[in-house]
Amino acid sequence: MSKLDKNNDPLESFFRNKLDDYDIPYDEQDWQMIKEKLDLADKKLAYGNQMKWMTAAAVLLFSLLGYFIFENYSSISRINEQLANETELPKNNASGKTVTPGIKNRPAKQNQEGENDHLGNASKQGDTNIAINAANQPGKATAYKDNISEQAAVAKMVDVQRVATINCVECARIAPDIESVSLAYASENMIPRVVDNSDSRFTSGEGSRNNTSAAVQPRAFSRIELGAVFGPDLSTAGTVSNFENPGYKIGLRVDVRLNSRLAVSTGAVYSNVRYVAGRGEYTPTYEPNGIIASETFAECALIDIPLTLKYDLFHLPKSSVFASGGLSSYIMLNENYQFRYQDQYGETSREWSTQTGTLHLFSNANFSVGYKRALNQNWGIQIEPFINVPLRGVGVGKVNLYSLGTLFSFNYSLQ
Amino acid sequence: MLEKVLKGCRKQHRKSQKELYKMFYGYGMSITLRYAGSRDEAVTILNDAFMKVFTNIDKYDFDRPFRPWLRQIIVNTAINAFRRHENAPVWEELQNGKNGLRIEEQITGRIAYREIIAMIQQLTPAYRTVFNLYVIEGFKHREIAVILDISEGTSKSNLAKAKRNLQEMVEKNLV
Repeated sequence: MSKLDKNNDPLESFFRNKLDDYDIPYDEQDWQMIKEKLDLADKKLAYGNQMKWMTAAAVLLFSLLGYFIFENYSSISRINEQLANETELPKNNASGKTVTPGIKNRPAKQNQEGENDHLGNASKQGDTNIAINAANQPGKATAYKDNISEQAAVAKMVDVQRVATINCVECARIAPDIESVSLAYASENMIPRVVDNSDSRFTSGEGSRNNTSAAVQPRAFSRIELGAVFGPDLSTAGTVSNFENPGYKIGLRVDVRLNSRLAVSTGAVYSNVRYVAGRGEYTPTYEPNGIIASETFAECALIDIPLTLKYDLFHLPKSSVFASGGLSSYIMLNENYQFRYQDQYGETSREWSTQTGTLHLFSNANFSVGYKRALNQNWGIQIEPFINVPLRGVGVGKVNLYSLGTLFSFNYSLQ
Repeated sequence: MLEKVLKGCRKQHRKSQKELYKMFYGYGMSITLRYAGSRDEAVTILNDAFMKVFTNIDKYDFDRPFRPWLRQIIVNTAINAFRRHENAPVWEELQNGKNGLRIEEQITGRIAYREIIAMIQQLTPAYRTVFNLYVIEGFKHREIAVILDISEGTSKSNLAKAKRNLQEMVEKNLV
């Protein structure tokens, strides 16, 4: 229909003219409704900025931590290389005496029995048990010490990861062929320590020969670890506040270790999530007669599939402290909602539920720190406070879901 | 005056936002009342439209008139509301007492305008939307078909039915 035809249609002209002649008074109540939305939007923006700064700070922290650890690792590697270049394989010389790596033989000298050392302690060659033996593999050194002097006691220090060059006067008296001793460490896993024979995880058969012996052994870690996890879950929509009743998490986790400190973790965790969403935090699929729910109470069941990197910050004799970060994908199973409406006629509520089975890939980021303790060779326990923050909305209502909680787990290491 | 208010809205000043809302409240409601089935629904559409205005105020070109830009946002918001609700179930018990204009407007407003709005609101959402887009906004059937994702034939049919229904209501009113 042309414009002329439109203008000639009396009905259309009638309505067009009448609708131009409006006179609608302003209503303050309508402004208050939009003001609530604006206030909520400002709050979300402020929290969004806060999360960005926190994420940036966390990334910076991890980067600095990684840098320092890498620097430390590089220093150790340099020292190991130097030691590897300086040490020689052990061989018997013409006199039948053992010449050990890093040990410079002193010219033959008469050893006088009964002579006191510089500390005034009587020493007998028969009482001493100091010998530096080269192990089968180059670079390893196993030190057996007894009645050692202050200088030689350096080798008893736990987690000594440096070259200790000991000019050992006592050693010269006790083992006259030895002028100095270098303790060599072939790799980052070689950690000399005074062995506690009750901790079989960190000792080898050689180390247990002598109660006072210091054995250099590779730190044992299992490649794959399974975990049964459970714990409470506090969830909220939109902002990290206004928590509803707690839900729970229960599931299984698999850690695949990449090296002594780094592991990749994944699993499947069934989560019962409960939250309250205010106006604007839940996006309804429809609004009956334009009425928006003032509050939405939700209880949802979902499967959380995390994919995280786990980094051991500290290694202790039977435990470790770790930090992890990664992404979670949610599979929504059940979604149950109760919508509450407030209007001038009072409050009404409606319930609605659905089973969507929708997958929200990498919808949340997860961060945690934790403490893990070994109970024995295979079993261990772990406690891990966590926080999940939304990257995008999930569920039918496209809710930005925050979750806090603590996961407890029983771990089993596959050797 | 308007430019000052718009600059304040750009800085997210609540006072400026309220001022803008008050300035164009009547104009905006006159559009949304035509698209909505009730006054409350009209307010919802208007507020959604103003949220978009406040959120996207940085995109507004100060060299162009504000009213047509606002009108476009309001009409688009009304059309989106129609698209979302066209298959939605109707909850009868929540409709009681919420249709139509408020008592004050019945008494103090222009009778003719109120009656016109009431007639339009009695149309089904599909007829009402096509009628508004064609008669008031001036879109062609081809354009309406694209906007509402319907066929051109459906657009023409809906308009014809809307006009027939309105004709009957007008004649009944004049009797």
